Amino acid sequence: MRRYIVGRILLIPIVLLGIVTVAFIISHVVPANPLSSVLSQRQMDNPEAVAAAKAKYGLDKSLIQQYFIYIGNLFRGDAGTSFVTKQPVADDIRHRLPATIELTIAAMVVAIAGGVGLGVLAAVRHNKLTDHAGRLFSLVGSSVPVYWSGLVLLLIFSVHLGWLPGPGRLDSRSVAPPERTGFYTIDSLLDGDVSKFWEAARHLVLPAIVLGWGVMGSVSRIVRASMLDVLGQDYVRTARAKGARESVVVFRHAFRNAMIPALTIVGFSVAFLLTGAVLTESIFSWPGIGQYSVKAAQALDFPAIMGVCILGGVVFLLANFVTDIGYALVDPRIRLS
Amino acid sequence: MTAPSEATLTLAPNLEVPDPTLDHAVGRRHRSAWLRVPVLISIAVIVMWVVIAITISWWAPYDPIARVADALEPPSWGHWLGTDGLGRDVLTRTFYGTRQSMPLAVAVLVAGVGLGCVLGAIAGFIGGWVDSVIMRIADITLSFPAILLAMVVTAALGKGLFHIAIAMIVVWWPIYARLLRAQILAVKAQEHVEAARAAGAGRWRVLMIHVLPLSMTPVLVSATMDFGVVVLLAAGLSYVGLGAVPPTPEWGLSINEGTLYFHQWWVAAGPGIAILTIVLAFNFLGDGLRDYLDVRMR
Amino acid sequence: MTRGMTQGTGSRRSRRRSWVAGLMVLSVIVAAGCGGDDDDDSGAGGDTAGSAAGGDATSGTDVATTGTAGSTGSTGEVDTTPLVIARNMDLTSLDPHRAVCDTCQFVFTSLYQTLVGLDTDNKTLIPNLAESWEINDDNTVYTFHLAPEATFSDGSPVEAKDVEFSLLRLKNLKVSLTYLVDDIQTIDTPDDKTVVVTLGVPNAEFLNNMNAAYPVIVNSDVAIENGATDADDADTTDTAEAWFIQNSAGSGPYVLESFSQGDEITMTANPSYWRDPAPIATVTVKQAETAAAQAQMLQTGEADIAMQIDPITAKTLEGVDSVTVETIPSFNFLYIGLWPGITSGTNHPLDDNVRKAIRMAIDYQGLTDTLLDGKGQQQPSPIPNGFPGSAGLKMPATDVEGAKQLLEEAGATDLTFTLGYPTINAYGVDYSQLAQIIQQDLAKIGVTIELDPQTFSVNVDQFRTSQLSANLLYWAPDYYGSAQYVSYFGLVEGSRASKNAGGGEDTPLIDPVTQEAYDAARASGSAEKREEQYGIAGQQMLDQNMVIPLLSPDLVLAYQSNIDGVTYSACCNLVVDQIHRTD
Repeated sequence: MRRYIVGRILLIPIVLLGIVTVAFIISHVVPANPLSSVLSQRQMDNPEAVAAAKAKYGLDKSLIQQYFIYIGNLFRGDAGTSFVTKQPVADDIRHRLPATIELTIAAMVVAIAGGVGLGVLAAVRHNKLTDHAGRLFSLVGSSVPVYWSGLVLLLIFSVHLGWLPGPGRLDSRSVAPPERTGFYTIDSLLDGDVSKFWEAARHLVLPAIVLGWGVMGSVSRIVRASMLDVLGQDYVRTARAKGARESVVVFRHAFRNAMIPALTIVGFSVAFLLTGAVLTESIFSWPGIGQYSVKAAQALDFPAIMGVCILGGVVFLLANFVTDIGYALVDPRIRLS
Repeated sequence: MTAPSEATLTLAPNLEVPDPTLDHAVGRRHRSAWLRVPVLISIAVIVMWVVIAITISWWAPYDPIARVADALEPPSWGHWLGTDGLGRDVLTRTFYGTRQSMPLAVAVLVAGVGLGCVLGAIAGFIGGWVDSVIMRIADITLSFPAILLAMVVTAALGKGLFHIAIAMIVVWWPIYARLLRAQILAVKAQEHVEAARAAGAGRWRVLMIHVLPLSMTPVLVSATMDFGVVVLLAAGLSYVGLGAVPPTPEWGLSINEGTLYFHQWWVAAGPGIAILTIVLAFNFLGDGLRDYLDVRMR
Repeated sequence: MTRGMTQGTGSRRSRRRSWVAGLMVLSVIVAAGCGGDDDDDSGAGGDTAGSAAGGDATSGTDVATTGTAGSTGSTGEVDTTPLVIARNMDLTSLDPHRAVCDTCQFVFTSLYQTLVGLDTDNKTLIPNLAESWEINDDNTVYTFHLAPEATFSDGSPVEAKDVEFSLLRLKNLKVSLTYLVDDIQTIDTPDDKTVVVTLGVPNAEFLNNMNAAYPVIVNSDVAIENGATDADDADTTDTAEAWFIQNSAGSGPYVLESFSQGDEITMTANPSYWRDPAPIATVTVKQAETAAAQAQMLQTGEADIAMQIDPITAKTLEGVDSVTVETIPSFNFLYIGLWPGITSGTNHPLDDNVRKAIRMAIDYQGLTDTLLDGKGQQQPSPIPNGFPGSAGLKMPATDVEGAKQLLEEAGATDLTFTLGYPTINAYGVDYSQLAQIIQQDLAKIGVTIELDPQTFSVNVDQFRTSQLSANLLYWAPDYYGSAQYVSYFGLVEGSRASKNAGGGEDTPLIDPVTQEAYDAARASGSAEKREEQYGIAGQQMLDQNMVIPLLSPDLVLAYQSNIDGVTYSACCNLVVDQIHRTD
């Protein structure tokens, strides 16, 4: 067991290096000039300006040199400076990550509550109307493009009904709470400002629904599937035969076991959302990692692109690793090569 | 006991791993599950769209690319879904869209699933360092934020659906590789497979006859349900400008236009409903397939 | 996954498993979130507003409370409710001598000031930091007298050395629009309040250049303290950019409070402003990506002003009493570039007759009607309507039949070319839509266009490296004056157009008539003469059909009805300190 864990830990930096290398190659292969985000249109005509900018950003060295310089800097914790924001990439990511995490957690709450509820319901009422309606609802969420449903929900709930606020993490005239964790909800509580807490929470509702609804489909599907599996098991039939009430059967015996694979999916949805909620972030003006990565990709901001890839890699590998270890822990018969 | 962990450790939202070693009797409620109404409707919907895709050029009411009326006209008898920002008929463009998105999704899935399965089978069956290498490559690919990877690949290769397809195949194969590998690992350990090996059957024979058939279930189920995901991802890429090239009537491009003309809801409604029905149809079909195979397995 | 259950240890084991699994997920979330440490990455010893990390928070609360806690300034009451401007922010840097963008124009002129200001008629230059000036006869020596009472936000006076520093820094950083100051040969500072600028070539528009939003005057003492330099090698030795992103050191009506990139920027009233304080004490520019989102924010009252609503979206605000919508002509235009010297991407060079045919085939009114609901103007040449030289120019008529004939004469009836364009929305026009309409229009004369959508940076890069034989782009004025247009779009020495027309950097195509007119206009002190010469240059550009303006979108000013003073400025987009609430 210990050998297994150690083995996995040793592999992580290798995989990370692989990610960095591939990211580096891909982003430098793209046929366009990254200086366009550094210099203005007119200045690009000026060869002196171009040479100066290249020297400043180290773009005048060979690719191999740039690569090793980058890796060297990484070891010192320096992920380069973004061409677009002119700030260290590590700082950029650190400032945007809490916003995305806050949104991700809120979305997962929606996805889990909805997904688990609907999945259990669907399994228990297998192939009846509730099953189909439940699946329909959660599937609609994953089939509607987010940038459209976001606008529609905003139109209905924010503009016409006025129940919920519009885009942004806080009201447009509000000032952010003093930064401690970067989570506006937590920070406002830490600051003792309860009304601001509710304001931040209200702003989370719509984007969390839009995102969560999309993930709800996967969660409910797997909950349904594993519940169905479990409900057909011997021990469940035994429980029923012994006269246990159906609700006891479902919740005490079946539910917990069915949740395990669901939790794995949850883990991975988290990883996916952290890097992928691009379109939601842009509709709701949510300054998170998703927006940052798209702008980086569009502007060919190499350091930022690589920073985001490394982040994605770390998150994914961590989730992977933790879950693998977990499974190895709970079931000693699992043999992984 | 299976080793579902590796299999479930992916980004595929459609993941499930029914345990093929379960040996209990089937409950009555499962018997004809797969023939239920939703599955039939799904099949009908899919067939309808395929027929449209194949035959549309014979009976299309309007040219999908030329301007045929005033721009942004609401639905009317002449134009059931109205016209878009350039005066083109929305319904016609929606129908023509099937010729872009459906072949794309099929191509991505066939290639992605195919490649993934081949690599996954090799990894699972041979094991050892081959397995390690393949899985680490899969890990690296999976760790990339999908949209970023697709964006960079299309920026490097150029626009058009073909390059999008390549980008998506690159993103998709690791999911299936891991899925199949996990299944193979599980099945390999089963008694009847061990029995076959003990009886002297060659590795190839064991793989093809004993292991693979039992392992393909989750792959098939996931593949059908991923269809919708591929269509949406292509639409999303078009939204950031890296998908099909205008004036192609691709659904993603059409939805982007719809977002532009947000208050003329019909522009987005056509492609939006098309995507919705196809995604739903494939999902219900996938679920039904799962139930069917479940019955067979048990 | 479930087999183990049949071993009979049932619930206890299952409980442990779900526990473990739950912990695993939690640890994933926590681990991924492990970025919440608040290292203070402050810039070097900044003084004024905000020294903490460029997030959104700390500096926000600190100074905001002082800023909004009823600081009354010298005259009358100050409106402390923040003014919110909704915009798709293209602001990447707050270093005024580096950044170039539309948002920069009003932000820099709120935080800093230029020597010369622009009156509300968008034509007349008025004193700003320079209260008066003299120009010598051949337009080569400009003497500026600085306003004696002008001070920076830290109270220190605005002096000649600050002007010298700022102009040289703009020139030597080589990033922003150096063309505005490239003609400068020497700057002398005979006393603290006098600046003598000597140009190497005559430029009658130099005053207008000084009105642009980029040669703003920064507090040189503070800037130098934080790494700025105006030396010749400033492009490699200046390190002040990071500091500027969190601090401002100017003399304008506002100071920088906080800046969170891609999210919002907040400015508060400058307590040492040397003129009457701005009516509204706090201004926040908030990110809102689409026109629909901006319109929604106006409707719910979350935004006071929305800057990028297009005429079609503006229709949804009709009948909303709380919102006022005004549509006025603007000086921005979108154009199609056709380059005879570039042969890649086309099966027939885009020579004179071909370009003329294309010009005649496009339905300009149709473009405006379809894309902007008619709210746009036609513009004959790259000189905007109302700018010097535009007066006599006539829009060529659309003539599809004539176009077809011309094509036949040119032997290009099977013309097929690739049109590169950026996938952006500029001034209310979606480029994808625009490109498709052009495609439809040209199909009528038998020309086939292949569309090539590109991300903005790729597109601009290909345009500048002469790789696109045809492209779509836009242009917004840097100041009121026509030299900027002729020097970029005319076939003169050093212009982008001459290089693309000739096929590359080393083979520019120069038109002696345009060159002569351009030089004469720059050397002439008489406005009428300049008008005449620019008219000649404009007519040349019109006849050459290489830069064909497709439309000039009207600007939609959309704001809360209780706000007054929202106007369009040719140099600065929006004049923020004129805005006030009427209730």
